[in-house]
Amino acid sequence: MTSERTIYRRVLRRETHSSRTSAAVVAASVAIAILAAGVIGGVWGLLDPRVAGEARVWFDEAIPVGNRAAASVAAGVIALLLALVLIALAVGPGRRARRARTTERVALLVDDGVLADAVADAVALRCGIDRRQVATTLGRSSVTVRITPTSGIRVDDDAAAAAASSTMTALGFTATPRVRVESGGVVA
Amino acid sequence: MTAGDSGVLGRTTISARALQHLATGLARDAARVPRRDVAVVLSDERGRLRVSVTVPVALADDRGRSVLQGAEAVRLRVVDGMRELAGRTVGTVDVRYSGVRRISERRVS
Amino acid sequence: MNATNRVLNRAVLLVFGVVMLVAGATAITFGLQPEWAEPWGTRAAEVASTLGEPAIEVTGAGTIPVAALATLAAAALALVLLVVFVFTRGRGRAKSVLRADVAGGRTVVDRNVAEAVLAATLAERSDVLSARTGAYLVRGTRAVELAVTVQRGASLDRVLAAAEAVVDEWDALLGARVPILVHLADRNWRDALRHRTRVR
Repeated sequence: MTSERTIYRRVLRRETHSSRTSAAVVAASVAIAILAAGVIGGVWGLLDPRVAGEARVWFDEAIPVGNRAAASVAAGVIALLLALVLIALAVGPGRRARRARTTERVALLVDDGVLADAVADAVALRCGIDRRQVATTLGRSSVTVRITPTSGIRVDDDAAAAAASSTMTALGFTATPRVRVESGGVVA
Repeated sequence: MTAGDSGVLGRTTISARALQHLATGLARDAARVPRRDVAVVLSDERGRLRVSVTVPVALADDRGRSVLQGAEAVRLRVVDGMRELAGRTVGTVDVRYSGVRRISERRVS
Repeated sequence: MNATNRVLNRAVLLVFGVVMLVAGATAITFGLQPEWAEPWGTRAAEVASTLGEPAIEVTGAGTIPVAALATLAAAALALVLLVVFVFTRGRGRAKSVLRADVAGGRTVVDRNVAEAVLAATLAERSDVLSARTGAYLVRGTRAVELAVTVQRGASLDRVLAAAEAVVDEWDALLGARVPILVHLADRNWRDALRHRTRVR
């Protein structure tokens, strides 16, 4: 029996990283299509001896000998770009926009969007401005708050930073608050 | 065909349907839920009876028994009841909890 | 949360990536320097003709080289494996949240019990937009995910406290401690269509 902590650790690690299922399924599906075409074409070619000749004629007409080198380079470049994308997906960590920790009883997983909304609400309330004047972005260990001030009213940076911090710590997460006040404000 | 207490010869048979009714009644008693919420399936397991019970979880206002304790109670009641009332040996009782029922205790007296 | 084999996903991507890398590099090299392709081309043709010699008679199709049949069979096998791969993604869901085997038999608790006790209770709160439960198998152990979508402007720590309280009740009800993941989730497109004020 695996202990609860090990289970939580495994679950949270999985939930905070992309599974790459969709990418793998797309890649596999493309491969399936190509292989299926190959197998069908191959069987047809074996059963009907003329097919090979016709295919060669079609290929010669589509890509005449003079263009073969250029076509090869073009195809190679495309393949290389695809290869880079595939390898990056395979090897990259794929961190999801979520944060996780364990409490005494449960494992806690919070989507960054939920935290961002809560921070924006808290900052707007604390600074006495409208919610639409606040935009939040969550980084790995920082939370950036962009405030568009009301014309004529000074924004209390420290209060905003404190509000952002306390919203995060209320859930048990730490993030360095960064407050940016836009130079242009809204009149009302 | 042995002579029992009455001294009269004869064979007592209990139909499968009757056994199922009996098991259902026993499970209902122990689970403390309405009879229509109890589903019981009897099967053979290497010569002994296997009783599979599906009941909802009874949510009472007071704390009461835990689900696992309730399952043990059902198990005990079914095994004892089937032995005493039908002379059947039950080898396994599987209890499956599906759904919930809010039970308000009604006293009939 | 599921048990999809993630390593396999990445392995498939890596294999295809490396194949593309080799194919692309070769195509570019031979495209830029066609002279280098010639010796490879003639050698490939020689190998193909020697391999293609063993052949068998097939009624209705004449003589077919064994090598061709072997290639087709290999391609078909790869095809089947890939299809199996695609269809085995996303498993790991469990039908029950608890399964205990004791001497007298097995006790199972369905997911709908967790849904009624955990999710339904939280969904009744005014600061919760929706809640749902999922049951999963993680390394052989059953675990529950309690996904909660919070109302705009709600206090997150209050919702978390409520979730922990409902988990305590669940623990007492069950008499066993099941691993639970509390997930405070983003709103999705369906939640955006829900009304902010709920009429009870």
